[in-house]
Amino acid sequence: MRSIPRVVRSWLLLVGAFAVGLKAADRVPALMAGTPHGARIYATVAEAEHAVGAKIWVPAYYPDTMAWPPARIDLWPGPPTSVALRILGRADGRERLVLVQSLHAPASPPDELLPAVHVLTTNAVTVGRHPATLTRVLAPSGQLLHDVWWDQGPRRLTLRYSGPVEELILIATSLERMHR
Amino acid sequence: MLRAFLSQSILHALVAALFVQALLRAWRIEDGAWRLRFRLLALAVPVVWLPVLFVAAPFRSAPTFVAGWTLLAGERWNLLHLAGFGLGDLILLLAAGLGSALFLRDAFPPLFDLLRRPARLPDAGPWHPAAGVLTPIVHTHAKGLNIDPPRIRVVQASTPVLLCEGARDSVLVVSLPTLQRLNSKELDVAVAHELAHVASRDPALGYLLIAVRALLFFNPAAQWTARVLVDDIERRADQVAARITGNPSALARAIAVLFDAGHPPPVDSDATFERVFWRARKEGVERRCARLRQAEVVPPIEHGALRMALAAIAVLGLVFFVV
Repeated sequence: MRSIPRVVRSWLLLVGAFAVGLKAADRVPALMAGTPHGARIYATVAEAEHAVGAKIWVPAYYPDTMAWPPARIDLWPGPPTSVALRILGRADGRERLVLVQSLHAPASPPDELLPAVHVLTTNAVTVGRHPATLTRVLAPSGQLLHDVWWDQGPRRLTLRYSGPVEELILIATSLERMHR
Repeated sequence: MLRAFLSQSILHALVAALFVQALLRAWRIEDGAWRLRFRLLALAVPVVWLPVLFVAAPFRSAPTFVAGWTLLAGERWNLLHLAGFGLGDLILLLAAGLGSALFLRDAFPPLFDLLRRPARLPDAGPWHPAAGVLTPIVHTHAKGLNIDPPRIRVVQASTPVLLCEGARDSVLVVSLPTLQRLNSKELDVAVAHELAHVASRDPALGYLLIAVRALLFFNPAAQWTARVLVDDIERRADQVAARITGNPSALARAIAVLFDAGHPPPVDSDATFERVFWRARKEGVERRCARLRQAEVVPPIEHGALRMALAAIAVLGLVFFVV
């Protein structure tokens, strides 16, 4: 009977070691790829739509300085499920626009999809027929960006843009009009 | 769906095989019968448990479960790319190739022999004096093992043959070179070893293993588990034979003699992989013989049922969170 604790102790050690080892192996790809752990990554909008079983809204207007299709589509399981489209600049290949939409209930974008930034100024604006909030933000890299967000039906749409604020409002308005 | 099933089959078999191997080492389990039970548990994971999970727990593939609950999600390795392909898919492809190679390596030679030669070695005939030599040995050990003595079939072959075949009615097959090479003590314990296989219904287990290997031909971890399971079947029969004859060193000698006679070293013209496989088999036989010479009495396992239950809980629980 004295050996039972020894048996259980070595069993617990092995279970713990295997759980830690598996979790570590699970973390490696996200660390190497620089993507949020836990998010599912899709190459195309169609693949992501198939996975979530809902249409993903995309704007009708883009400045021609931006590349289409999105470089990557991240899906955060939530709840609520959120999807981020990452669109790059055509010339420099840098991320210019991130469009995050929560699918079944209005919710702020999770940090994993849209990292927290320092808010400099906040203004109330209108996007099409919907009241929206426009903020000027400072990214940890020191880059000045603009965020605009509004609720439309069961979704919250958040756009983070690196470029003129007028272009951001045009993109946002085209998105709002498409899905009235 | 199919990709997820194949990927999880390989991952689950790998986790189960490694965990069982680690447990066998940590708990220093030398008893062949118990080792066999643990290996069967590892093999049952991809064969039985995975289909059960796919039917009874489909929520494991939902994004919420994958993101928040899994220990390992194979699909995440597709975040990394190599030559335009997802790394997860490439690893899956390579693993399936390795599994198929392991399966074909073992399946091809008997299949080739079957096509090249008649399926059965010709009988030497019931009047052959070898049967008379073996009958009292077989009857003595069959009585000791509490089984009906199997039929003896003496075959004409140029190499030593000593095996039992037949899933229902077992037959002890023996060739004349076997009797010529073994002395009486070695023959006695070698026959006891074969009867231990009959007592444990190992020929039937062998057929089951072939079916499982064919079913999981793509799964390298399952192929490896099935191979080491065969080693543990032999270990169990070795231990039974050593126990009932009290002569493990004679069994070690018999194994070495029969291997050397039946497996001559490859010549230089043979392919490199043939030499590698011969060396691996030779080393396996040497390890087996050394085990028999060193540990004449295998210590009984304490709390075997508890250990088995703990192993099952751990293996089934761990793989539940691997998708």
